Formats: sequence, C-alpha cells, structure tokens
Amino acid sequence: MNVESGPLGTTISKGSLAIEAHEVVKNYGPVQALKRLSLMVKEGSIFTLLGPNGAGKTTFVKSLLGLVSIQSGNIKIYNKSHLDSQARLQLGYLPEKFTFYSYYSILDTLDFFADLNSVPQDRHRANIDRVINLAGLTGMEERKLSTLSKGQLQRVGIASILVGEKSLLLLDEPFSGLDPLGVKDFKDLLERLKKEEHKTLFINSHNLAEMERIADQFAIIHKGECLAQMEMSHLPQGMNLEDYFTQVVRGQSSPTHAHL
Amino acid sequence: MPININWNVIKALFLNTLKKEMRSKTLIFFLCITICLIFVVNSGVDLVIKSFEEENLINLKSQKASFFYWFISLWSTILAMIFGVDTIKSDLESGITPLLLAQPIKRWWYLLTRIIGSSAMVFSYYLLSFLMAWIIFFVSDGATNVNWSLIGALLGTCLVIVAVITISAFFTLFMGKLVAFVLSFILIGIINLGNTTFSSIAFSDHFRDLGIAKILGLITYYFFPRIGLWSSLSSSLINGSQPDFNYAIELAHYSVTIFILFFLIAIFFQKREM
Repeated sequence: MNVESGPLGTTISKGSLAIEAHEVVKNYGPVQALKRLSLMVKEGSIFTLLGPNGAGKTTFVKSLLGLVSIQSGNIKIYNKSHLDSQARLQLGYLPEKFTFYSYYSILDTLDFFADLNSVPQDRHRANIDRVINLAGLTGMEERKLSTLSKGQLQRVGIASILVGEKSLLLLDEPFSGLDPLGVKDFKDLLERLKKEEHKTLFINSHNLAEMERIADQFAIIHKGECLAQMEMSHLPQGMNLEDYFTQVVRGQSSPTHAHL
Repeated sequence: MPININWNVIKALFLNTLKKEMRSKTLIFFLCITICLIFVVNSGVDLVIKSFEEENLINLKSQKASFFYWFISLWSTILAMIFGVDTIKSDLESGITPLLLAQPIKRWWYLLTRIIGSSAMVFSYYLLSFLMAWIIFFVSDGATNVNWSLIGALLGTCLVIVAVITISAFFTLFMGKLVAFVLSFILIGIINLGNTTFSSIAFSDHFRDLGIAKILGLITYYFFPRIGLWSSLSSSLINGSQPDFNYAIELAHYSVTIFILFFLIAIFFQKREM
C-alpha cells in the first residue's frame, strides 16, 4: 500500500483516502477564504469539518464540487482530480437547505437524479425503492416536494444522492433547522449509511455534540486555516469536542498533529 | 470545451426544462389571450367587413389572417424574451443551480438544454396558436393558404426564437431579470432595425459615411443572428410571397453567430462561481 506523509505530519495509507486536499487557496477578491488548507478523509469514515461561521467550510465543500475555482493547491477525490467528471460520479452533495422544483414528486426527483447520474434504466426502479426505504420515505413517493417538511426534504436530498450510487456524501450543515426528532432520525440515517451502505460521509457542522457522537474524524478550520485534524477517539483526555474546539479556535491550544 | 456528450443526461435535462417551463404562468396567460384574440379578430373583422363592404374601404378579409400571424410572431418574440431571462436565472435565484452542477454534468450541457428546451416551449406556443388560427379561419371563411413554404416560415420563426432566448439568457448572467428583459428588448429592436436597413442597401455602401448609429447597426448586422431578416422571411412565406433571400449565406451567418453567442455564454457561465 502506498504510504506517504499527509498534512499536519500525519502518516496515511494513500489507497484508503476518499478526499485528499493539499494547500488549497481560495480568494474572494481581497478576502482569503481558504489559506493553504490541507485535509485528508479516509474512505468509509464519517468525517466532520468544524469551524465557526465564515471559517471557510462551505467554500471548501464548493471547491470539492468544482462550484468555485481554487487559486492554487490540488484536490483529489478517490485519487482523481476533483474537476474530473469521473470523480464527480462518486460525489454527492446535500446543501444546507435542499431546494428543488416544488412541483416535482419525490419519485420524479429521484428518477431525475438517477438519470443525471447515468444509472442504467433497468436499475432505476430497484434503486429508487431501495433509497426510499433507506431514507424513511416509504408511502410518500407521490407527494410533491412543496408539501414536505424541512426534515423530509433533507431525506429526499439524501435519497437523491444515494439513487445516483455515490460513495462519498458531502453534507453541508445537515442538522440545520431540524427539530430534535428530525436530528435524531437524520443521525440514525447517517449511521446506517456508514454501517450498511459503507458510504464515506463528509459533514460540515456546527453541532458539536452530535458530531462527537457520530463522527470518526474531525478537522477544525478557522479563517480558512486548518487548526487541527484528528480521530475523534484521540481527543485529549478529560476534554469533549466542544471544549477542544473552543480551545483551538480561541488560540488556547497549539495546532494539533493529526492521528489518522 | 470537451465534446463527449452523454445523451441520456442531455435528454433528462431537456425534459426537466420542458417540465419546468410548461408550468410558466406567462405561457398559459399568452395562450388564453391568443385564443381570445383569434375569436375577436375573426368575428370583429367580419363585423367591420359587413358594415363597410359596400363602400369598399379596405379588403380586411384578406388581411385578417396576415394580421393575426403578424401578431402571434410578435408575441412569440416577447414570450421568447420572457423565457430567455427566466430559464437560467430562476435556477440561480432559487439555489437549484449548484445542486444540478454538482452532478456529473458539464455546465454547457445544462445551458444548451435550458436554451433548447425553452425554445421548444415557445415554438410550441407559436405552432399551437398558428394551428388554432388556421382551423378557426378555415371553419369561418373556408380560407386556407397552406403550402410547403409554411414549413420554411415555421423554421424561420424557430431560428428567431432560439436567437432571442440565447440573447436574453446571456444578459441574465450579469444582471437581474427586469434589466435583462429591457436590454434584450432594446438590443433585439436595434438588430431588427439594423437588419432592415442594411439588407436593403448595397454591400459597397455598408461602410460608407460611418457614424455611431451606423456602426452600431453594422455590429448588430454582422455579429448577431439576423433576427429581423428571418422574421421578415417567415412573414413573407406565410403571406404567400417569395422574398429575395440568400438561404445558404444567411443560414451560414446564423449558424456562426449563434455558435459564437452560445460559446460566450458557456465561457462566462463556466467561470461563474456558484
């Protein structure tokens, strides 16, 4: 297995990486949104990118998707350039608020996303039935998106990714606006995706408590810089994620070498 | 620009455009107004004819269909502008564009299918209005002026619709819908005027006595699709006359200019950050 030195001094087996970002720089005019940001995400893990508002989390996700162009650095998705359409075949994206045509039914939406991802026609129906069941949308197939709650829409968003047979899911603030029950259901869904579907999940979130429960790895970014990246199990003793996050962002803790 | 095309994805995007635009309230409104107008024009002109025929003021009956065809052509152009400013902008405003572009599709596929799909909807409106008018005029007057040149007229109108939608969509990459609509309206007006002017004067006179207005007219004549000429051609063919029109040169000019216009949109859209 190809082994090399990763960001922040990590030693990682290269074959097992879903995302590999090196020294990514993104500027919006004079504002530097990402400052030589390096991150690595292991395949099959739940990775969470944490940071205060304006830290650059969404910009990083948009860079991965090629929705914004980066000034320098390079990003690889499963060892292919992030701009390669083959790489995008593996990559699913759920924005903070899943918005699609309100007059589409759940079935229409999933059918459309299956088409966009070139899912063969003979697998369409089976795929749709499977993801509807997985996302807990059974019995709602014919409902228009305009009649769904925020939590149900997020589930449709996840289903639209899964129907395209993606292996890496980028979720931008997936718990935002969900009620406690919605958060619980969505969290359970994410855990099923990891365990049963073997998906890699990359989650941008503010919700430190939830992330501490479900994520395997995390990184903390602030003002476009990666301040720490490590396994959740390697949090300093006696500290929870919130304490650690506060310390790192407020500069009370030096940048941490990752232990991936 | 890569040329490998996934036709299944193109088809999905095209059908998505049709489904989106079919719900356009403007389209439904225009169709209702058009149906009303067909009846009003038909019965109104008949009434006028009955009142004034003895005095032989004007042969309105023969002009009834011409007036109507002129009217639906004009409305198709306006409808094309409305669809043009909406087709890409509405997705951008509602936040759907990033979701679509995060899929394994090329940005230019998205643009192309939006433009072609919207054009198909506007052309369907035109065709439907045309057929309804023909049926009603045939039932009431027994008048048919159907001939093969009508197909040419329809194709000409189709080219006009595609060009108008492309121009309007181009403006929406840089500004809001209303401003884009106004600018499209002005530009298409200038193109029409320039086309009428320069098609009627000899080529050797095109570059004589250049002023600002003439330069502007020349730019629209040479660098934009000749919407005015194609529109006039369609009107003439519908009315049964054969205009002096160099099909080969005009088709070549149209193809090159529409390609350049689309290429420019694709470049700007590619650079746009979502």
